[in-house]
Formats: sequence, structure tokens, C-alpha cells
Amino acid sequence: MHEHLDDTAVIQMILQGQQAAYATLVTRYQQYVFTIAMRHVNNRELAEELAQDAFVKAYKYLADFKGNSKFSTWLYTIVHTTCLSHMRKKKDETILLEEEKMVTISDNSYEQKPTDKLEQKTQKQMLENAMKHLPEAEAQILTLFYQAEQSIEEVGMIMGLTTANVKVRLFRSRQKLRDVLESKYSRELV
Amino acid sequence: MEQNEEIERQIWEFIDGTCNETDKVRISTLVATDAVWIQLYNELAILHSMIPEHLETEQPSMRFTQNVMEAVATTQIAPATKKYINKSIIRGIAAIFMIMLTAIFGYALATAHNDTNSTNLLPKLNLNNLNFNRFINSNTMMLFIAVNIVIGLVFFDTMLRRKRTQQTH
Repeated sequence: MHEHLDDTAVIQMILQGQQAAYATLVTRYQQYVFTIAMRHVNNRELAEELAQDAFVKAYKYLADFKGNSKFSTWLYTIVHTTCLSHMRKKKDETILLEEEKMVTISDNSYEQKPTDKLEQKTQKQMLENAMKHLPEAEAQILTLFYQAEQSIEEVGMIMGLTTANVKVRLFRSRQKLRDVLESKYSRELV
Repeated sequence: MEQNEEIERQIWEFIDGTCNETDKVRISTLVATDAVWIQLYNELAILHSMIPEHLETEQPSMRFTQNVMEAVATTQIAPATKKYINKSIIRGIAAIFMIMLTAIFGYALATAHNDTNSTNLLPKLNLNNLNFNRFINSNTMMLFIAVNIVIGLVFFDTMLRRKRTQQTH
């Protein structure tokens, strides 16, 4: 309905009382918000719950968005903090989940059936699997930089890091991703 | 190994466009002429284009937007922080405190001046007999430094918080 309008215009409409216009922003950013949440929790149901929570919070405090940064940067900051506070609360459960995740990953990676190997030949799948081998914070930084198209400064704002720190972490994340791809899929990549 | 890592770091800065103009010219020459740089640049450039191209975003359920809109329907937009934190109110409270303190201090001074015959006066202080060495020792110095450190940390914390808040918005 308001797809042609930019974020600022849509926000103005919402602040003037047109609540339905918020659906435009939700549709526009739901994939990125959900992906960020997934990188944190790696559980679809939980990620959806956190993404929804972040959208509701963003709506509630929309009047506080001053437009000094992009709306997406502001929104991803809310998603990031929502996920972090959830993980702090559920720290023990998260550790168990991570262990489970590691087992699943190692199962998928090292004991692949021939059919699985065939399925994982595409670059997309290789990359997805390699991303799962990265620590959560590193996968997060790559998601924000490459998928959510945030600049290094904006990634810093979202994650509460300095620009220099983001650069170092981004470098390490890409290095690790490259190492994983080379060690596990070197034959496919040739 | 370390040299390769340094080359890799510089190439990433070149790809991201975060290096300065001088480095940009130098690295662009190296990636066009030096065999080691050429090979590494090609590998990194492939990875750089591969990530956004092949890494897909996750899709939430079909009902996601509807769920959010249903949750939002019962939510009120909170007024902007700057609207309910009114600076004039804070200044007003500060002014009231200042007036009260001035009034108390003024009253105390006025009363002390009018009551010269009172025996309830403070003892006279002779600064010549005051031995400052009694007060300046290692303990007082440590206390003085500790208080200053605490004040410094409080100031630094306030400054960082303000900076962070500005960055968030």
C-alpha cells in the first residue's frame, strides 16, 4: 500500500495515527529482522517471537526515532538488544541449545550421507553451512554487513562496538568463513 | 603467514573502501602487478561477491506481519522522551533548591550577625597555630586520590553514556 514511500514518510504517517502503515515497515524489514534473530538463537519459533517483540518495541518507541540514523539501523539495534537480553535471561538454556546445535552441525558435516552431499553442492548451501560453523557474534556481523547492508559504522552502532573493533571482527569473521569453506568444500570450490 | 594475513587485511580494506587514498593507489597497483596480491585479491573478491549473492535471508512464517499488527493494535506509541523530560521543569526544581539553600544560608548569617552577645559562638580559629603536617599524611593523600579517581570515573561514565545515547539515536 505504501511501498513506494520511504521509511521517514511512513513513520510520519504512523505518528499521525495511521497505525496500518506500520505493516509496510514490517513487510519491508521482517526478513532481515528475522535473520538477525535466527543468527542469535537458531530456533525458528523463538526467533519469530523475538522478531515480533522487537517490532512491537520499535512501534512503541517510534516517537523516539529522531532520524539521525537509518530506520533500519535503529530497528536492528532494537533486535540485537532484544535478542541479547533474552539470551542473558535464558543463559543456561542457550548453552544447552548451542551444544545441541554443535552436535547437529558436526553430524551434518562429518557424517554426511551420499544424498546429503549431493544436496549440499550448491554454493548457497555451502555458504549456509559454513555460516553455521561460525560463532554467533561473527555470523551476526556478516549478516548485518552483507545481508542487512549496514555500513561498518552502522554495524558498530547496532552491536555497541567501535568502528575499529567492527573492522577487526569483520576481518576475523571473513577469514574464518574462508577457512571453513576451504577446509570443507575445497573440492567443490575448485 | 603473518605477512599473508597483513596482505589480506589490506585487501579487505581496499575491497570495503575503508582505506585512505594513498593506500588505495598503492593496493590497486599491487593487486594488478604482484602475483601474491593478485591471487589473494581474486580469492577475497570472489568471497565478497559470493556472500551477499548466495546467502539468503530467513523467511518468517506467512502470518508474521499479521501477528505483529495484531500485537501493535493493543500498543500505544509512547510519547517522545524529550516531550516528557521537560528541561524547564528540571531547571525549576534546581531553582527552588537554590532559593531554599540561599534563604537558609542568608537566615543563618543574619541571625549570627544580630546575636553578637551570645556565648554560643564558634571558637576563634588561629591559623598560625594550625599544624597542616598533621593532616597531610599518606592516608589523607590516598583518600584524596581515591576520591578524585571516583569523581573521574563518574565523569567518564556520564560522558560515554551521553555519547552512546547520541549514537543510538
